[in-house]
Amino acid sequence: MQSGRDAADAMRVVLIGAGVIGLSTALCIYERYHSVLQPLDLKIYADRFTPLTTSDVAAGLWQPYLTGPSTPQEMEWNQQTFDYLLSHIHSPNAEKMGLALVSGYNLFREAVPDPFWKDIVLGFRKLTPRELDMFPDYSYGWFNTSLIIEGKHYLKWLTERLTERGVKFFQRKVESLEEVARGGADVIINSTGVWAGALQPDPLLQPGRGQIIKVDAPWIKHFILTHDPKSGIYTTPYIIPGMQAVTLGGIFQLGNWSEINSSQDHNTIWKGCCRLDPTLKNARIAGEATGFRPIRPQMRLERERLRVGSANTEVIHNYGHGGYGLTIHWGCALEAAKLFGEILEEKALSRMPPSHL
Amino acid sequence: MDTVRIAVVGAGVIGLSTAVCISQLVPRCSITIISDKFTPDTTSDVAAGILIPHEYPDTPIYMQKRWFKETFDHLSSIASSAEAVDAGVHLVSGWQIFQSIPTEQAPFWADVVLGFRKMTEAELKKFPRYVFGHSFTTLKCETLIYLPWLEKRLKTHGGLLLHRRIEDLWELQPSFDIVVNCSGVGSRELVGDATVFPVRGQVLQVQAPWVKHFIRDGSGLTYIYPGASQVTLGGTRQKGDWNLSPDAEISRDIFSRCCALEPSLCRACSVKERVGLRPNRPSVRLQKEVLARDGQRLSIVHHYGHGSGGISVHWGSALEAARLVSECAQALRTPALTSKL
Repeated sequence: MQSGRDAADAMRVVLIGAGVIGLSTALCIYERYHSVLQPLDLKIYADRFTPLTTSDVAAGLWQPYLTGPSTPQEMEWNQQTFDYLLSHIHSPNAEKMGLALVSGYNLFREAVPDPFWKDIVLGFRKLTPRELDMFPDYSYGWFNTSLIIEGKHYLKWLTERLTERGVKFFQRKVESLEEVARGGADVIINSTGVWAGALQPDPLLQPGRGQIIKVDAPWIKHFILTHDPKSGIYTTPYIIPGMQAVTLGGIFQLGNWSEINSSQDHNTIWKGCCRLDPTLKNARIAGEATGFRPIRPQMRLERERLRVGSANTEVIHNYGHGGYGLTIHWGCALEAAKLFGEILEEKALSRMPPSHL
Repeated sequence: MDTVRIAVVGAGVIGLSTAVCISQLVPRCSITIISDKFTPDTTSDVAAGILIPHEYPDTPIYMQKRWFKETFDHLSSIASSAEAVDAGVHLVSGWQIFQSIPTEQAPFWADVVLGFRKMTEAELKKFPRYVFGHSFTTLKCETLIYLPWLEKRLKTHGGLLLHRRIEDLWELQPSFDIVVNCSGVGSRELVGDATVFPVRGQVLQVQAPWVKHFIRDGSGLTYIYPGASQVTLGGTRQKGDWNLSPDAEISRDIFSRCCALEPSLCRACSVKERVGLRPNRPSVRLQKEVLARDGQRLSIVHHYGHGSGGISVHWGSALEAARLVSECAQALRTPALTSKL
């Protein structure tokens, strides 16, 4: 038996999670389908909004992992995101979006193969010997121009765009997907990041805890990322200038759910970054934060049909973007919108031919 | 002669750095800086301080390159040290862009800056009206911070700073043995050098901390230089113009030209206008002279005329000037030679 809806009813869409993945997916879906679906009833449920999301803790540098991508699709999504952001660099809104070009250094202790994204970023090249002289602990590296997309500014900007379009935000702690389905949602978009396991068990999803220190060091114009393939990504010092402050980091702890800033991690970050750039000793500390990268062997971006009672609710999962959520967000939003389109087509087909007059 | 008494006239980047170099090279000397203007009111204070040389038509290229390299190396070691912030020196990367392909593929200083290369097609897309460009990393020397840092170094080594306007170098006789003339555009009147003339430059200093790269039009007329505390937008090149008051029309024009290159600047705030008079000369004057009147002598070392390139070559040029001062000091200390002058 059908749920009693007919073609004239609105499509009720609930999106859970208001980090970069949630908000960008919402905007993408709205842009594509608000004229097709009149009205498009889109609500966002989240227990955390900016500036308290994981996206707000991230430094915001566009850069995928050095190895990978997992799939050719991910390669395309990274490229789509970079191109999309780059196209906004020339706009007067760039600063409001938290968007700026930034150049800098990736440093290694030995030669490594070029990354898969070398032709996505601008002006990728190897470091010259004189440049390497500036970093005595490192013997190899890259220079390129990339982008900053700073979480706090970007999420605020996305929120404003969504609010303008009539999307409603609700502060709610969702306990289960079923709860949202029973509330009348036709489509649920699950962009709950590292907490997706609470809605539906996912043993592949783990927190990759990160801690960062924000400093005032406006003389620092370049990012400096160090790498140690043996200890893993984000475990060695990095310095990333943002729209105003500079983010210092170098912490990655798999499985650690502690949201408290650790003084030991603070010291690790501070020591490592000051060694990398001695001018930091003059920097004033402006803040400190902890966030949980949603680590998964591969992100989950797929549909699921949920049977709740006698009805089916469509779910689009879009979570598990590790440390590269900002880097890949727009390509994933486009994909999620594509999946949403498939759902709409299926629903339209399911209403033809009319089974009753 | 025990202590050689040295007066440096002028307290811009040339005067102060020359004084520091002298203090390191000449033994047993006292140094007094005499100027009517000190930081933040000198010409140097208006300059953005980016290390990109200006070409002097009459100074040999090998010499300009040597000065630039010595300045770059000197500031480079400061930039990576704990002193960097106090000295106001930091690295900055960016682009120099051209609306038509330049005749020389690479300037003489290409291998002094870091990572110099041609811009890629993708990079040029950011500048639709430009067809060619260079990408490189250089240094920025924030004069508003650097000059006070130099003054501090001088005072630590016993140097004195005197606020006075000199109308004639002879005023300094007999109190001083050697006078180093670093009076920039002031030399036109002070020593009657008609080959030095002002090239007026107006700039805007704005708050736009998200701008991390410099952008310079190859003509040198339009530029965006991000610093530690502000972004400098420029500029103008008005020959023979002595007017130090900012012109509002010019400010609007500079802002509009810079926003065309970097649209996000239209959201910049806190705009300050400043004007400086570049001491233009076909070549830098680095020359010894002896003034003689009524049986008295005064050794002079001229060190001025750096035009747009003062900060870019200041250290190398100052080392050269200090060598000339050292020669004068030695000559003064050798009585047999002085009688022959």
